[in-house]
Amino acid sequence: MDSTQLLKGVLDSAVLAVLEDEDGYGYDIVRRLRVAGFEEIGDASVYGTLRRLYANGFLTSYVVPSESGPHRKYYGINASGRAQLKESTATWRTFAGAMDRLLGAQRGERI
Amino acid sequence: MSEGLDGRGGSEGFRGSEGPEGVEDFEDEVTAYAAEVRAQLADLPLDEGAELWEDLEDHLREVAAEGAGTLRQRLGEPAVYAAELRQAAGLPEPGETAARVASPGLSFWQQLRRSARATVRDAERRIRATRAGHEVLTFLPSLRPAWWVLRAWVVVRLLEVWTADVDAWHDYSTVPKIGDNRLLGFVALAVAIPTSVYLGRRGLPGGWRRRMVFAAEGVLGVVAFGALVAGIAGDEGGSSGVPSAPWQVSYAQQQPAPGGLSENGKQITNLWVYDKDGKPLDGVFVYDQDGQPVRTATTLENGSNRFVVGDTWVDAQGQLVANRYPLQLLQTDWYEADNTPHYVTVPPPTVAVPQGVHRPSGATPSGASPTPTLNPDSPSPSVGATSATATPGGATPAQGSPQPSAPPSTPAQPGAKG
Repeated sequence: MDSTQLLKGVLDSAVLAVLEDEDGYGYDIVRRLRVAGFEEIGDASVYGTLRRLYANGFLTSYVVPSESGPHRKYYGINASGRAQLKESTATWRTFAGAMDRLLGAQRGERI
Repeated sequence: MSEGLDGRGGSEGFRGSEGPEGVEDFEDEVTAYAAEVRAQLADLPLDEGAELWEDLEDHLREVAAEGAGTLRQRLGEPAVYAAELRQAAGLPEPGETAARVASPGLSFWQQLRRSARATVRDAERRIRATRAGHEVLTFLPSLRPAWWVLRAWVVVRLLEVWTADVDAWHDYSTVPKIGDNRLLGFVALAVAIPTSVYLGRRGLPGGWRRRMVFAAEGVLGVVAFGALVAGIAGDEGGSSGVPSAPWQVSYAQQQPAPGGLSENGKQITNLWVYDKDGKPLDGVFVYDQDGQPVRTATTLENGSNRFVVGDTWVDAQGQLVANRYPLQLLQTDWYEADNTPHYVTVPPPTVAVPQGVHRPSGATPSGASPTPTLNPDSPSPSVGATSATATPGGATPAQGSPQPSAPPSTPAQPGAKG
């Protein structure tokens, strides 16, 4: 199964979760997602997701100038982003639990 | 030059040279890659596309700054990147866009906003298409800190206009006053400028607050622009005294008679002279450092609305003597039914002549005599004196003292007497 397809459905939650830990700029978020295990995550997907979450009012953003290299646009999660993350976390738990039980049952295992 | 820099080259080859020209290569690479991604998104309605592009180049610059390899190696073909971006950002696929452009579901205001944004972004795209335009638009953001300082000043300036007694269009100073207190103005600036720069560096908030900031900045920008225009107009009007634009005329006409004597911006209408014992002197001729007659703001030639000169003097050649002080100034007191004005003499000021002690400064004059050489065309004191003795009587009483005298029943006409 192509994990990029799965990832697309949960990318919003993944990005929000990463930002709940700590504010970050675009490429930093990509890296943190990769470290978290989403190794095939594309930069364009993360950047597009950031733009969309920002447009929907889930994120704040601010620019941090840097003496060496380009300035960086940081994103942070706001209250409605946290509410969104909480909701999608609940949805994911239900979904993942059902999937786990289903897959486990077919293979004769009980989780 | 690495091979990825021509914008179309293959994906082999590593990041260009590490030498000093690397920075430029880096910029070129980012710009080229971003341009290709944009080209792939060109079908998007302008506002949606431009919103996405706003920061794309900055983002790509961040990516390029970290890690090795060209952008093309790391991010893939621009077309693939664009497709992924389109999907992740929830934008319509190429085929769908045409249907969405019409967007019948939008309210009037949304349509208006959409088309206004589209116009602005279309203009930006055209400007960016030229090399010079691209340079300028890329450079402009570096002027932001200057705007942060300026907007803070404008805020304090608005406070000044609101709280202090200043002419909003003509009284300017670098440090505005708050409630006529310049120290408070300084404190306000010391708070406002760092705050403004801090907020500016922090970046814009999202949603409605972003719009509020834009609206407020728009107002401040208009005020700053108005201040600039008024400042330029004030400078021109002040230096030449001649209105240089139609909208300056009303300002120029408020000025009392051009030229004349003034001190700290206050027009001087008359000069009262006393000797060391405090005795008022009359019939004193006053010259400046070049021997030119000194005239007060009340010119004998045209007077002003407030004052007329009660007595006038002419020299032997029949020329007006304009520097004989004190002038007998008459002020309108009341009007007849047919608007004939009645005058009263402006009384002398109350002064306390100081009883000083002579204390030499230590510097002694040498060489040239301090006596000014009088301009031959100007009435010399002796000529003035001659004309004084030859002066007509009539209703002109003012030769003795500056004390009020009976006002004449008709206004003095310049040159009409003598």
